[in-house]
Amino acid sequence: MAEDIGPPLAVGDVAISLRGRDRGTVVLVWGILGGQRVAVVDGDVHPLRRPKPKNVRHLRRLGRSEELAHRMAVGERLTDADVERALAPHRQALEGLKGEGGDDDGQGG
Amino acid sequence: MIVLRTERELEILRRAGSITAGLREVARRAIRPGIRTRDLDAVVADAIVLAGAASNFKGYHGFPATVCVSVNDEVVHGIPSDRRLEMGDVVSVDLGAVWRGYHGDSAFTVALGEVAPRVRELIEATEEAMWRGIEACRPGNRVGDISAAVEAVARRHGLGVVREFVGHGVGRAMHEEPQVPNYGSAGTGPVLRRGMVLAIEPMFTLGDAAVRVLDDGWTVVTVDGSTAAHFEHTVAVGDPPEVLTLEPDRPLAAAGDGHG
Repeated sequence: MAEDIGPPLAVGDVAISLRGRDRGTVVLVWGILGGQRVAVVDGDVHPLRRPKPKNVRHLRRLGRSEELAHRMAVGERLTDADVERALAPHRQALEGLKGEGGDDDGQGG
Repeated sequence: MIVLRTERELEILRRAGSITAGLREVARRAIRPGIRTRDLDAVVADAIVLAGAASNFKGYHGFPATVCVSVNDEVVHGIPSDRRLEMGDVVSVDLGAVWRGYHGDSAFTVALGEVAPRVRELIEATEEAMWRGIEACRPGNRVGDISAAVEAVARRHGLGVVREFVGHGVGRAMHEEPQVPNYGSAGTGPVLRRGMVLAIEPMFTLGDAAVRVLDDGWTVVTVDGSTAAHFEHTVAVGDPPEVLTLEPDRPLAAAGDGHG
């Protein structure tokens, strides 16, 4: 049975969590942990000082923040507000989709 | 971390491999037009029990069956169903067994009846690529040497190389390090050492290499609908490399002998 390495996720990618307590939340890929795991942050429940390890199978890539990817690549320090700002458009897009469905069950955390 | 197997572990892996080879023969004999892929699954499931082994696919991350049967544009991880195989189908079967805690993993593709020459070429090239990859499983080589050897065959035949699914280490888990992509550069990646056991498994497509996973969460299909092929053996790195899943060392009915 072939090993699923999925569409590779890169630092700076924006993804939605498909599994776990944070299911449905939009996160930023902050680090690559090797194997099938990456570290993600969302600027809130998982701030930069406490990234969450996550199996890549449990994430779906939504897009990418070129700005943050670049800033991380050059070693610039980010703030949680930066992360929130970068994720906001993706969250809004998802909310829009939900809104069309008529039902909004909120984000929990 | 890449685990190096002791000779004692290799002995068990050889057994797991020969049981898997027997299962492959069982599946190969059962494949014919008219059989449901579900029945193919049942035949192999019975053979595993007969061998005194267990399925390593069933329940793996929730996979619901003993074998993967992937037809035509399905690349890998097809779930057995009521679908009946037909003349002209290209059928990939991926199967394995776990014996005393160690895994065997193998796959093959066959065409039922006459198929277009280009489809025949796809199947033959995918198998050839597997053997080229196996040839590279020698101490001192690198994982990238395997990848490059496999990829070169695809390039020569103008075939797509699936990138999202890869070969892997095999041992106490079905998927161990290192990952063995079917694309890459010679001279890169981890150095191969005696005691490493790897699943070499090219997945090639007739058209574009892009794949997607169906809503069942498993079945991987080509995005453009083109036909795919998949071959796999579990191999111990050596000089020469040792193909653990090559052949059953005794009739499957007797495979449980000496167990427990």
